[in-house]
Amino acid sequence: MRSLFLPLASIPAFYTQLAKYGETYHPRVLDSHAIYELWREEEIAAEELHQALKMVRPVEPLKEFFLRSRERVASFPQLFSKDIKPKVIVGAKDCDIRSLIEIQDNVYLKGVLEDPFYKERREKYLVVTVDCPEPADTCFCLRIGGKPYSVWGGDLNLSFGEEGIIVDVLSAKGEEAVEKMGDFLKEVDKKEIKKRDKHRTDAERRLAKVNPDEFAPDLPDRIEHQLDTTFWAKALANCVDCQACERICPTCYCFLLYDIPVGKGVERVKVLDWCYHAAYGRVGGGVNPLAHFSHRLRNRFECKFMAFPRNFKVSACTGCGRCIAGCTGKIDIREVLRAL
Amino acid sequence: MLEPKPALSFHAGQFIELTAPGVGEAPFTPSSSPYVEESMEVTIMKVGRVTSKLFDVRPGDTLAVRGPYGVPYETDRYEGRHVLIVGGGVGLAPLRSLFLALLHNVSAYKKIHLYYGARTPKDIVYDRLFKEWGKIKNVEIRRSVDVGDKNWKEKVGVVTVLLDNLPFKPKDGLAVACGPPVMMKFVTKRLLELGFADEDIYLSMEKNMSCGFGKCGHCRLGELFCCKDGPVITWDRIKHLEDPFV
Ligand SMILES: Cc1cc2nc3c(=O)[nH]c(=O)nc-3n(C[C@H](O)[C@H](O)[C@H](O)COP(=O)(O)OP(=O)(O)OC[C@H]3O[C@@H](n4cnc5c(N)ncnc54)[C@H](O)[C@@H]3O)c2cc1C
Ligand code: SF4
Ligand code: SF4
Ligand code: SF4
Ligand code: FES
Repeated sequence: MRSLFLPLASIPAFYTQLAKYGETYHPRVLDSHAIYELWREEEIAAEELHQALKMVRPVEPLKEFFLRSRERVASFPQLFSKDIKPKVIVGAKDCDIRSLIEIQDNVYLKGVLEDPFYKERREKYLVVTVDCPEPADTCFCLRIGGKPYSVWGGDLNLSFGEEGIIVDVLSAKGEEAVEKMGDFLKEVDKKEIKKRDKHRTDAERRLAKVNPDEFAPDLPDRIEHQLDTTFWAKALANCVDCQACERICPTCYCFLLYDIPVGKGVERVKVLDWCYHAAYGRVGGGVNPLAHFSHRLRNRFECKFMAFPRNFKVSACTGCGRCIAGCTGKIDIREVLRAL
Repeated sequence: MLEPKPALSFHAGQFIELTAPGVGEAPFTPSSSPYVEESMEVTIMKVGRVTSKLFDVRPGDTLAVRGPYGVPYETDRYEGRHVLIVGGGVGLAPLRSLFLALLHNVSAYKKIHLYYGARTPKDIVYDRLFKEWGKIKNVEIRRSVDVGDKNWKEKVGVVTVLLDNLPFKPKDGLAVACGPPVMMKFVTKRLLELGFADEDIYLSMEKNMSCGFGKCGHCRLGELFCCKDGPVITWDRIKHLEDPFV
């Protein structure tokens, strides 16, 4: 791994350099949240871009770039092909890159078949992860196998030094993108790295303060044995069934296939699906094993904290806190896990 | 009867995804013998959108099929043992391909016991085939209906009544069951009481399925996925779950 230096004032120019690799998305502040925006080489103050990079995970989960919420996957009798062009995504956090590597890749790249569209996007898209110097109260990556900074998994990582940004080159794709920039990035000074390390320890300390307790190590068994529907109904008491928590989750991976007639043919469409949908488990003739919402709630926890760790040795939750921040009913997943 | 082009071979226990044009697809288990490669039979009960559309299909129409998916029955584990097949209602359809596959090599098993329960004599599937099957050496057939009629001479009662007085010792055999969830639940309970080992009870677990190959999440049952770890799953792998049959 090699580290390079980006002066703060050069952030806009850096995005323009990245755009040589592909369409570039970067975080932008909107109503005190970060959201992804396409880099259009407009005049945006470097300081504003810097602030956006420092924020916690963007509102949109990283999977949105890789698993479209609705996409055509087959057609008959006329066939189709997809032209997937390279993209650059700047601003993914550790909790996001892990959602790809540890969760979505396990589902979509392994097993009986791989998803060819997902695979191609994974190959072509360049992910630039960014440290989190200022974790939010909803963040709990530290308690679920992550860190408020990413040293692996992305192609490049941006971290915050004394006077500028440190660019770590983490993959061959990252190297390729940096090479396209010529000598745009400079040598990095030791004192920058020292400052970066301090930011990292401070962030970890802050996260530990917000989340003082570890989760029980036997969560899978606790979920398996928590069969009391009143427990789940209570956990859900304030839920208004808006399904925001699942839609916004970077690790939820379910989908549904359906067909639509187009002209004389048919197209098969894949849409992301959510197990909170009342019809999620419905089988032929209307029988529904997940008819009651408390069963569907339990199903979500079973999926993330029992089945996934048993199958892949990792929870299908990266602690990004989006479901907490986005919940209409102010339900905190950490409290449900602690109550188990 | 489907004639997949190119021919699509499968093993008993596997399923296919069959498309009703313009409506969508649904999982079905072939009910014909896996040894017949040029065509495939599927027995379908009309319950909803896809299955209703499939009832409108005429001979010669083109359908789309993908698969086969899922894990086959481990028939080599059955050799030299008694094989008890318990079917309820249309649950016999998928068991038929297993039964036909076993018949192909009938002397390899101590005996094949085909036990079948339906609601009324009119609901019996493959009624006329039972007569032929009954004549085969090494095959024992028992049938029951919940409610009989004046011509019904066989057992009356839910399918578990057929499990009384088994003609073999459970530890010399294994059981395979398919049917509606309540039937599966009570059959499993009875088989356990009789002394069948957990890993010798093979259950067809039919959950909602979309993809058929372990990605879409819909068919998850505990830590297993019915489509890729099943649909036939032995009791030892799911007995820790609250109620796998809901
Ligand atoms: C492994 C396996 C093997 C099977 N083998 C056989 C077999 O051999 N023979 C047989 O007859 N059956 C078999 N079945 C059952 C068969 O797949 C179902 O009967 C079939 O899926 C019913 O489809 P349908 O569209 O006709 O029913 P419907 O009741 O219309 O729909 C069932 C499906 O559509 C969805 N759906 C319907 N309406 C809605 C809505 N409004 N909103 C959202 N979702 C909706 C449901 O969630 C469900 O996925 C098998 C099932 C499995 C899993
Ligand atoms: S976001 Fe909150 S209110 Fe909405 S479905 Fe999820 S738990 Fe319920
Ligand atoms: S469950 Fe909540 S905290 Fe965990 S990954 Fe999903 S949105 Fe983030
Ligand atoms: S959960 Fe951790 S990695 Fe994710 S935004 Fe918060 S601090 Fe960063
Ligand atoms: S049917 Fe999609 S995971 Fe089993």
